[in-house]
Amino acid sequence: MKAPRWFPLAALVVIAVLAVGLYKSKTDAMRARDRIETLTAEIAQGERDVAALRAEAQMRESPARLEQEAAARLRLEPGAQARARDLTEIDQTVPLRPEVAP
Amino acid sequence: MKPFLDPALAAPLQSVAEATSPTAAEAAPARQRIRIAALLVALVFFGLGARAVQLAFVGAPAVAEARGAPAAQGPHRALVEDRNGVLLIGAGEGQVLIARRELVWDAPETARALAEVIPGLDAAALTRRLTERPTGVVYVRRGLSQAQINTALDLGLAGLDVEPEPRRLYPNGTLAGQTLGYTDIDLLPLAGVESGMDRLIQTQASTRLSLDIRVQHAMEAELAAGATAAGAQSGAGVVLDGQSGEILALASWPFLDPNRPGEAGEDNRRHHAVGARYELGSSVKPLTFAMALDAGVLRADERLDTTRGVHVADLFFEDEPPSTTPIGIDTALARSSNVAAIMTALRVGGPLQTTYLQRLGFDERFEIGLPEAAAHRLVPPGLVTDVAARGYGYALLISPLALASAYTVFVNDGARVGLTLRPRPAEEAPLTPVFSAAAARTVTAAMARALPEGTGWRAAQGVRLAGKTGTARRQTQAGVYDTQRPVVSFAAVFPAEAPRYVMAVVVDGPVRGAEEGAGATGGGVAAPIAARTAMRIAPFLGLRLASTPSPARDPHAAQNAPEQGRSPG
Repeated sequence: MKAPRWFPLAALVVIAVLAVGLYKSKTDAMRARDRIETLTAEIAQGERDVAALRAEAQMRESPARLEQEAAARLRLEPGAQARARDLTEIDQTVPLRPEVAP
Repeated sequence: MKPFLDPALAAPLQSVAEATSPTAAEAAPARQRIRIAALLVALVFFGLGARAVQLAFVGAPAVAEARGAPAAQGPHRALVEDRNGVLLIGAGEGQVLIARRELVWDAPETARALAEVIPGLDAAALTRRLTERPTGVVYVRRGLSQAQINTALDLGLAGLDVEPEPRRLYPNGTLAGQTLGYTDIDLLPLAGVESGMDRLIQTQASTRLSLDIRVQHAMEAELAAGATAAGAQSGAGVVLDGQSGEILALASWPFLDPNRPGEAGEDNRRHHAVGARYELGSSVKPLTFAMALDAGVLRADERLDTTRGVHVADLFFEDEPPSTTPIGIDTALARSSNVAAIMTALRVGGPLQTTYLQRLGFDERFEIGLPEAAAHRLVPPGLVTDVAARGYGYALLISPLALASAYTVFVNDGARVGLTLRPRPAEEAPLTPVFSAAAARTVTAAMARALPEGTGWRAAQGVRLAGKTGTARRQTQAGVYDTQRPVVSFAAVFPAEAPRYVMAVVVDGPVRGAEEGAGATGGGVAAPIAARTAMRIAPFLGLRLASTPSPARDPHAAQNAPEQGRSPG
């Protein structure tokens, strides 16, 4: 049985459509992969930035710096050993209210 | 030439061909279809070509950029935190100075100018690298400080630029510097936890240590202040949770800034707390008394006649000043009687003493994730004088960490706990039985009673400690003892009423006391450092302070115990 004369043309069209579809799928996949890689890189950069900020925050909150700042700005310093008191002695050693000048 | 077909056959074929050939009109649609097919094929090729052009000129840089980014991250290394999640080792980006060959105008001049501002840079070698190819990037020098990079960029030379590179950050500066360690510029571990826990750091997202940054800071601050005031050469401090074996603080002075290890001296890099071994003297005596009590060769209420001194081989030992009456363990510890310690050690005897010292860990290398940890060696005593000397802390090389480890027997009813630099519940801590509970409790109580009246009286305020001072002459490389610069120490458990924590302080080479009127002794240097540290860290550990000297009470009574429900961290 002889194939219809339009059959090669139809086959060609189908092949062309499939080729275009394949091309589109591949380019979409490539675009998606590029996007994923870009996002991955952005996430990694974001994580690095967060880590750097965390390190900077810790540098500012390091005990040595806090102690230095507390001494400079608030005049606070670690308690001296000789100033340790039991709670039972507190009324004898610390005035509960400052003495008022006459 | 012979024809392809026989002429007799060719004629009929030609007539058939002529009869079946389409006319021009009949061929027109076919030609049309061929044109359409050709057009479609051309369109397909045009599309492919356009995409190729797009990839070549538009799409490619984005892909390259995305693929280039991970390379800048370097090998994965976990963040390191303390027991409460405070950052100890972080990650950041440094900068590396580069030169783009195609933009450099004059390679020799560029190299010469850079060599003037970057110490050690070889101008000739840099010129060769700049000119060996027409294009590409040359890494001028890695590991430069920001100031050096700024100086180089300020030269205004064409083609110079900076690129980011990953680096480790130690945000607390010198805090726990020797313990944390450092890496090289390629992030390869070189020292400390960075090296000892390398596998863990490479495989985990973040790694937690047992250190408590608050305890560590207090220990370091007081150690530095005390050792500086005493004119010492180096010092070390250790704070342990005696029940879980967790190391809360591990300090070595002078300090090391792991952000700049290359600028540190040899003494700064040395981890004295774990890597240095000393003859620590009298801080070992409580262990000697515990040995004798455990072995049953000394009674808790016994009084030793030290009034006439003691002969060992051809040597004679006498306390200074000599006691006028026989003394018990309390007084022997308060006065730090060498004679009592020698008499006790001789009763225990060499072989049993060696067994006890082994159980105390004095022949171990502590596997806590620090490659700097010293390996202790315990040579069986060859002479009776060695047995006697070990009784009062000589003929025995011990690291500060080992001393603290041994004192955990006074927390755990005579058992020594295995140490760790990682958080661990007390229930999982491995215990090595050393002494009976009775022996350990008796000595702990004796230390608590003796401290306010004896050599450690400067440590008797604040947190109630049960401990012992040590002042030992240091053996020089020439094999003689240095009488000018001793090694002073103090080891204690606290709170004395219900011991849970252990602290050991060792200061090497003080020339005066850490306080006004104090001498270069364990009581004058190490004990005040420990007492001040204990007072500062007490709130973090849930302990109360005391203003009066520790009374002689049962050390295991529940009074003044750590507040319930509060962890050390």
